[in-house]
Amino acid sequence: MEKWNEEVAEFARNVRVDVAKVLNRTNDSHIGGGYSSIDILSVLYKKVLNLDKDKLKDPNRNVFILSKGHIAASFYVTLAHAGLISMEDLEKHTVNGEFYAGHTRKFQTNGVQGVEMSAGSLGHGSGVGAGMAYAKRCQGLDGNVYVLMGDGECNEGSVWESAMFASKFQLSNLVLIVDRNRLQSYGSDKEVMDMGDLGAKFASFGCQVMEIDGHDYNQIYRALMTGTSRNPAKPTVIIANTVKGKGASFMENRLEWHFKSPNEEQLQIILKEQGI
Amino acid sequence: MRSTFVNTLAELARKNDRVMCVIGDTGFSVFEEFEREFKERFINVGIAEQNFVSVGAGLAAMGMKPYIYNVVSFMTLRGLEEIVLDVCYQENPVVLVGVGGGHAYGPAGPTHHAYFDIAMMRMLPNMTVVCPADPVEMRAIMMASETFDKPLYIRIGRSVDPVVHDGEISFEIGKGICMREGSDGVLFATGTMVKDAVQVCELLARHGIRLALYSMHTIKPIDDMLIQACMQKYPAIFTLEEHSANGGLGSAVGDVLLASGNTQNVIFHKFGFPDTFAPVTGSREYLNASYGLDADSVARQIRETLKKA
Repeated sequence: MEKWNEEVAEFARNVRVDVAKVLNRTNDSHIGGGYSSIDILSVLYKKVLNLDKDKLKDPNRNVFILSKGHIAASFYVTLAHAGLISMEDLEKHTVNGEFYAGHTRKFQTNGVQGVEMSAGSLGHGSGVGAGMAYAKRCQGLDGNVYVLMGDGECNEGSVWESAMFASKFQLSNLVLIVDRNRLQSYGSDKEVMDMGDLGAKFASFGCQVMEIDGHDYNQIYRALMTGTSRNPAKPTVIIANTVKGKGASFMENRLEWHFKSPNEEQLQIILKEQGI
Repeated sequence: MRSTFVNTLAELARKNDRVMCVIGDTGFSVFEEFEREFKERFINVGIAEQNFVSVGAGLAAMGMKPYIYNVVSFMTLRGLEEIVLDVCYQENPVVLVGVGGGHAYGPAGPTHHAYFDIAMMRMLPNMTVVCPADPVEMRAIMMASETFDKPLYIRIGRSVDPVVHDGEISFEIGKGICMREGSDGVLFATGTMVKDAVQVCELLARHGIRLALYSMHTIKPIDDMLIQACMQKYPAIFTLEEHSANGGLGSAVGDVLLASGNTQNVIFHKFGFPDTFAPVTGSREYLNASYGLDADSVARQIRETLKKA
């Protein structure tokens, strides 16, 4: 394993452990869809986004939008390990009177530092992200816009409106990442609303599609690096095949972990499986 | 009004390279020149109101000053959640310009009528709601909008709206404009009904009734100082709008009256659409008249109300 791979693995392990601890305390759930995204978040924050507290005000920065806002706990923990918020702030998750809601809220509007867009209702990140990518293009700004969506989120028609738009305006600086864990709220995507070949659908909307293993750091990194502000071309859509609950044996591919949070006993299993 | 919009927007865009125009596939023959001059600062997002609003929010979040232009009914209904969550909740300073207020697209039918937009927009935290009465007010609001750093909804009528103000006006967001002094009561009118309100006042004058008239271009924040002052000064208060009588200007004025706790001696009547969809097909003038919102009917109803008092 290359050194950076090991670093990302270590980062992801720490995030998974702290997410389990936070959710064990707050019972805010959505850990399954958090764990399926954590490897992607880890590569983004360790290798791709290149953000620190000062850079968050730089118009040339890379922008990350969490559109599946329900995995806020996983995002806050990622931000803490990336040094954008303090580790102590994780104590504030869903605490009365604090700013750490169960769905992410933009920093400038009573939210959390490092959160670029408030989310909670699905199907908004792709459109706002496309607008940001266009604004960057218009002003000659560097940096890409990365949007992490759920695959269930792709049930929303607005996602496809944005895909059309991004393609028509050649937003090569926009990267839409679909966390393809194949489980949504009430059942599997096949049972609920079979979207078939998602990659082919985005390709037919004019996007450049890459289908990857969403837990393979090399593949995630290579795919994320295709976004570019240099030449107008197709926007990138990454279909990241993932496992809901990845990293905790009793959670993997189990629908109920969309809703449950680990109890004390389950927390210990997670810690053990993560090698802590 | 539409041409005032695009002309003033071009003026703004010439001196401020963050100003841009987004349309949702509306405005054929209106924006071609703007598009030629400002190129990438004009975008047509197609017939997709959700993405239309979200893109506007993203543009604003990343430093542009977007004016997003669409038909009132489509933008405020299909795009409502995006207006709530992407524009208002996140305080993105998007200027939403809606064409087709009230019955402007009368014969097109209820899908194109705008009965609820003012009510919806004025409920939203961080939103400011302005309905210019004529091209003079439209120009003034456009000039004020450039440095207005909050979400703004501008509701206009149709492509060609008559001029109501004779000359220069003193315009400030949130401040009603006095158009006529009076003593028997006050009429607050907004947007496209201000012209009708002028006629109402003239008709009443023939019967010796002198109504004060204000153009209430801003519905949120409502000019509560003015309304409270009028409560002291006039025995009767009337509101007139091309919108449902529930939730629009009349309700905003009524809220101020109720909050004052002193409504005993005030006559208050709201002129607006009843709680219905247009029951038949008709032009703006026909449909407004069918609800008693033409100048003759409004003047007659005001006379009767004052007589009873």
